[in-house]
Amino acid sequence: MGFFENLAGGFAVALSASNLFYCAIGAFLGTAIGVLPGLGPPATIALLLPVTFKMEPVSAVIMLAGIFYGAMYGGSTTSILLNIPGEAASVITCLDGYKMARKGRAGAALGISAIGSFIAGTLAVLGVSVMAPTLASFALKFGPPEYFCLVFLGLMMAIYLSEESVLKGLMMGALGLLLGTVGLDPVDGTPRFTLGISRLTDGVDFVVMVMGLFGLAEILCNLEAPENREIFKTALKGLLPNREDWRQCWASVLRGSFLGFFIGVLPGGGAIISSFAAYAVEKRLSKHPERFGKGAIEGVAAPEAANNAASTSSFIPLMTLGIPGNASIAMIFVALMIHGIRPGPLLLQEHPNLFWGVIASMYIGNALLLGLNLPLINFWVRLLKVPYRYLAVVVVVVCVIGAYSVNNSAWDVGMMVFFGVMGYLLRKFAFPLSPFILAMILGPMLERTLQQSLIASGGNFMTFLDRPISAVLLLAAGFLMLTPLAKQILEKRRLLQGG
Amino acid sequence: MRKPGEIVVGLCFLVIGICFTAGAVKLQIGVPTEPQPGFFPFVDGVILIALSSLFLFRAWGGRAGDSHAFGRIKGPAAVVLALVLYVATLERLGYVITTGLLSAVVLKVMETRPRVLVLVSLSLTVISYLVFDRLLGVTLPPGILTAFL
Repeated sequence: MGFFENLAGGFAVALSASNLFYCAIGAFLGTAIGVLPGLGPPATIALLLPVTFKMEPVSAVIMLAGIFYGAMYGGSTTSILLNIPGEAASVITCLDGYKMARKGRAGAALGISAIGSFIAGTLAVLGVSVMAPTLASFALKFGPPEYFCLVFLGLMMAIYLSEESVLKGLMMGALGLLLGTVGLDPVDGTPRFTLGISRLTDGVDFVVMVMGLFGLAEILCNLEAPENREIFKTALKGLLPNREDWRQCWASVLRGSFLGFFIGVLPGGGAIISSFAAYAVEKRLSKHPERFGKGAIEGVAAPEAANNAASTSSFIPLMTLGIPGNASIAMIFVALMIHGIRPGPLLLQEHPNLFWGVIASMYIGNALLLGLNLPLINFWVRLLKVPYRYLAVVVVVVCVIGAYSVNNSAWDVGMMVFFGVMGYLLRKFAFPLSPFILAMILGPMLERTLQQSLIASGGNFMTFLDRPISAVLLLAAGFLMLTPLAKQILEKRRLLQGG
Repeated sequence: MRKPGEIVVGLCFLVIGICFTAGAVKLQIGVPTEPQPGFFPFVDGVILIALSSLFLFRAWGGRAGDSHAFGRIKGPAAVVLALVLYVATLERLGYVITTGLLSAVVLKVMETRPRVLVLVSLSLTVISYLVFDRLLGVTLPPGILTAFL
């Protein structure tokens, strides 16, 4: 079947009444959690995972994907109106968005953010539709050594691109790999590190862990500071950008879309880095860089386009290689695994309805989000007036119910509390959580492919360098690992020369 | 500046690395041609030991990187304590009673007025019970209210 037939099949799946409903629910919830500061997409997806257990796999992924890209749309609202990013990827939007609001141009900032997001989202879905099948067919040629090196490179990128220090990222990655070994050995079924506790035979429950690390930990962090949320009072009128606005920022939207798309494909890349990168590019290309930080509309358009494009394109490594690039996509990976579907190059052949159905739902979701964001902007502003304490108590209750419902056991609630405290402390000491989550998910694959490669090559570690694809991937990973070290040496040499 | 908290965190990572490495040796490591269940955790455990030693060395010299200052930890501590008690009593007392009390503690920590606190925790408990237990089929423990639920 050709591309258009496949896509038409996908639309037939996505346009069914139930899938349309789940797509709308996902987009709505995503916008809501994007608008509300204090609860991010990974936590929300983790909280809703138990709800998807009884759903059709396509519907489950359509809804969870909607939450993820919907949050990128909603995140800009609080950045512009409150100077508080609703979502980490919208941090940079605060700089110019809030300044625009103070100048009485909140409407135009919200408008360009929503329309720019729509354009970027749609372009990115088009990119995913074209690029994913090609990459999936290429990945079919991969053997265990290539997969080992690919997973290793993915982990290194997630660590290298995380906001915190590389050493902390490496420690979190190593810890995640170790926790991933708890349970039965994948080859001979020997129990490992279960401490004689039968509940640990199946390993640490991922859903419970993520609820604690992202859901409960976020609430615990927010409980420290007194509730202080002041909404900028301004008349929200003129949501459509005027001709002059468009003249200034149409190129920024396109540049942000392309940059975001390519950064999103990289494991660990994602929406946060792409929004910062897009802002930096726009400032550098601008004839008047001094306007940035003082209410430049390009400073809103480019990052918002970039974070939307990146959130969509981050589905490419998941669907084609089976490698989640960030914590939210990792949740969708888990949802697929719970439904007995292994993401990877065979997904397209074995579950074409799911693959194309999810892609088609993204086109629909983007259109729905534009409809949700512009006309309903006053509703989202009103939602912001709900005191945080009510959101916090609801999240805590949903976390305990969600954890309990996994096995109908208080043990899982206890594990969720344990990981909640752990997540709180790790945040306080600025240890990045993404490398930990990705390492835990990818650990079993890394171990399996390492063992298969070594057994097949008679224990020869050079097998990873003998094959061209794995050699390139491994060298890239090595380069990433050595870059911070090289930077430090250069910095020291510079200081010594300067002194 | 040297921060004791960072040294404690580094030591925790180091202890975890040592425990996993020792456990991996017990499981048998094997050789690269025939890796045993302990092979992968052993390699990874050694890496974690090396990384956490480097982190401790840096933390000792006050160069462990950024960290966020703790704010008013009374709030998070009270909620964690309430959650520990919740886990201990959930199956005995049941969902309705324990969740009502847990919600009240969270709201109290967030300085909610008593009347609102009672109203919100009661309604949240009842609504969540009806939605999850009755509507979505999650079996929540009835506890001492078995006769009424």
